[in-house]
Amino acid sequence: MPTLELKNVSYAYEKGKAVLQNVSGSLETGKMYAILGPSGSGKTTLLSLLGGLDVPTQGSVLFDGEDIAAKGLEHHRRNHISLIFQSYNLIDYMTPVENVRLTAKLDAAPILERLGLEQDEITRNVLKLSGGQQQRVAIARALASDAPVILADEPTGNLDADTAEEITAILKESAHAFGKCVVVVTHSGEVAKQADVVLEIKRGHLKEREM
Amino acid sequence: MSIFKRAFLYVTRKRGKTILLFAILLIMATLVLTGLSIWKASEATQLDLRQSLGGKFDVFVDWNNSPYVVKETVKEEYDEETGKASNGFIMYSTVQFTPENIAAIKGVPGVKYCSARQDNLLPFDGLSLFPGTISTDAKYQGYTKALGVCNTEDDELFTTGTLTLAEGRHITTDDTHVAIISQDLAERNELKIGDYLTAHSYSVEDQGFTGLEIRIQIIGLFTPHAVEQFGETVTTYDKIQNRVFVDLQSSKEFDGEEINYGFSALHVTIDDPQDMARVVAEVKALPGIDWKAFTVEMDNETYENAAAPLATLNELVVTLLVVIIVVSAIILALILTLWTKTRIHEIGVFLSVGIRKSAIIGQYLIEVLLIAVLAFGLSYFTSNAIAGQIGNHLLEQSMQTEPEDDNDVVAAAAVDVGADNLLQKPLPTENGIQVSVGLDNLAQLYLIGLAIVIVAVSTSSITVMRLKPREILSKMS
Repeated sequence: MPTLELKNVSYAYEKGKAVLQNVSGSLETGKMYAILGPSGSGKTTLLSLLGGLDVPTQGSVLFDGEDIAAKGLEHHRRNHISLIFQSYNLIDYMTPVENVRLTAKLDAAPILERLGLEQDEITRNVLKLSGGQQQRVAIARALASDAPVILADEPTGNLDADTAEEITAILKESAHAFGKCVVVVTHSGEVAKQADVVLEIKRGHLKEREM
Repeated sequence: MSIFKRAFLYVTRKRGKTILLFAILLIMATLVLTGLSIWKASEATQLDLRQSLGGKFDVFVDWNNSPYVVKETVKEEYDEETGKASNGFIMYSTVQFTPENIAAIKGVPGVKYCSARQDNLLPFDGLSLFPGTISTDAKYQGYTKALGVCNTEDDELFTTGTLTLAEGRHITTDDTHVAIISQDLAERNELKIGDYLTAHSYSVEDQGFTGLEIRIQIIGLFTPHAVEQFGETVTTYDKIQNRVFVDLQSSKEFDGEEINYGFSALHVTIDDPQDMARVVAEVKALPGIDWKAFTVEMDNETYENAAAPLATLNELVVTLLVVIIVVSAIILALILTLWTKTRIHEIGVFLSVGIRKSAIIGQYLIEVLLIAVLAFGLSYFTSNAIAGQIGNHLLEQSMQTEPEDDNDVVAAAAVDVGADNLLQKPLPTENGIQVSVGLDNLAQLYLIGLAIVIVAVSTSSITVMRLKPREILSKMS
């Protein structure tokens, strides 16, 4: 059974100006998905709908066959979804380990160490870490929440090529080793190459791209 | 991570904001606590004032309107000096207060004392009096005032402390043919408790002594708190040391029991001047008193004059408190609103990880409360340091705003009655009000502060909490 399913989803910011039109598709656990598309094509909107941050103007988003609106979007976000952002979105008055513990259902420290953060780094002020380290903390927070779906919006957008490669590898490992459904919105062809499935949004429609 | 842990982390890590908020809350709490303590002190002083002053009212025969007033012509009196005879008359009421009426009035809740006197001017056999400072008619030399009472303990001269029973006991309702005289008079005449005084019955109608001898036993000696000052004018019979208190029966016998079987006037002292109307109404509703014969004159002026600055202070403090509370809530709400807008990124993160909006507002509330608990606690000391000064400054302002009416304002716990200068007790307000911050005030502050914080946090969170998570995340990016 697919984890996340889009059923005839449409979304319009203004009447008559649809960003997504009648989009359908399914996303499974254990796979990493990349969503490509030009700026303004609706990639982030799609991610918001999958993450329960917004509701479609038409159609529905299902999790394990159940409409995510049925139990409430908050419930969906709290129990099914982890979000990773381009700007990391860490809480600035918390240390890395405290950021991870924000929603942690698993022990934070081992996950942070596995993602390459040293013991002294995980108790440091989060803003004193490098961009790559901050994104690792964000991924650790996503993994520690033990949510089955990780939604990442341009997770490598602010990182150099080497760090971006490392982060992409971690995301891929999260899908394969931890059995997560990882959905990455990206402009990067390098990131897309690492994905198991590449989806492309064109003129409001979602299509799987042959790689 | 729990809501409390998040709040604690914010408060301890964002020290600049914490210190600023602490300072704001400390100032707010100090002002509120100062206001509350001044209010309490003002209320306590008013209560103290009411209890010190009491209230008074007099009930007396309505000489103009009573149907029971009788006017009788009495035997002509021949004046030896002028050689002329004068037509005299007497006025009296056939309805008078009895000791039973006095007992019933004393039983009314709120009545402290109820006293009445029959005044008699008469000589006692062989009694040497202290001379007055002004001369009287030759006829009245050797005369003094004998005051017929039911109970000397309730007499205003004793209740105000003007006279003190130095030896023996008070006259009670059950006594007959007893007297209390001054210690000075007793010493002057080598009298002691148990000795007798002798007087003679006098007929008002016949204007002469009847020949009936009345012997009264001395059962007590009093000392006056003060005697008249040098240069003060007083007749022999008005001198306080010459005063003789006797029981009602003796007093009636002095008058020949023809007219005065009771009292024409009562003096009632009540515990609380605020209860004046109720007490008077209850007295008027008592059975056994014919109110066609009497009228009531209330005297609350002393209390009202003395309490007016405190009432003004009370109004001022309540107004200030309301202003402080409202302004505090507004300032706090504005500051928190500004800060909430700077925390939009954090709100977005919390919402994206599934933390409820209510939990986010709850965290903000706990953050402010954590700081407020400390600030409110410290305000106990800051308020204690300034409350007294501010309270008395406000009281002075209140006194200055009262209309000047010095002739009528008697800053005393008793008023002058007839020739008797009653003892003047200092008023509770004369040395200012005693303001101290109590734990009850602190508890009130915590309640008021909690309300202010809840209102401010709720108001400040409205704008952000109305936004959808997506909108917040858009603002973040």
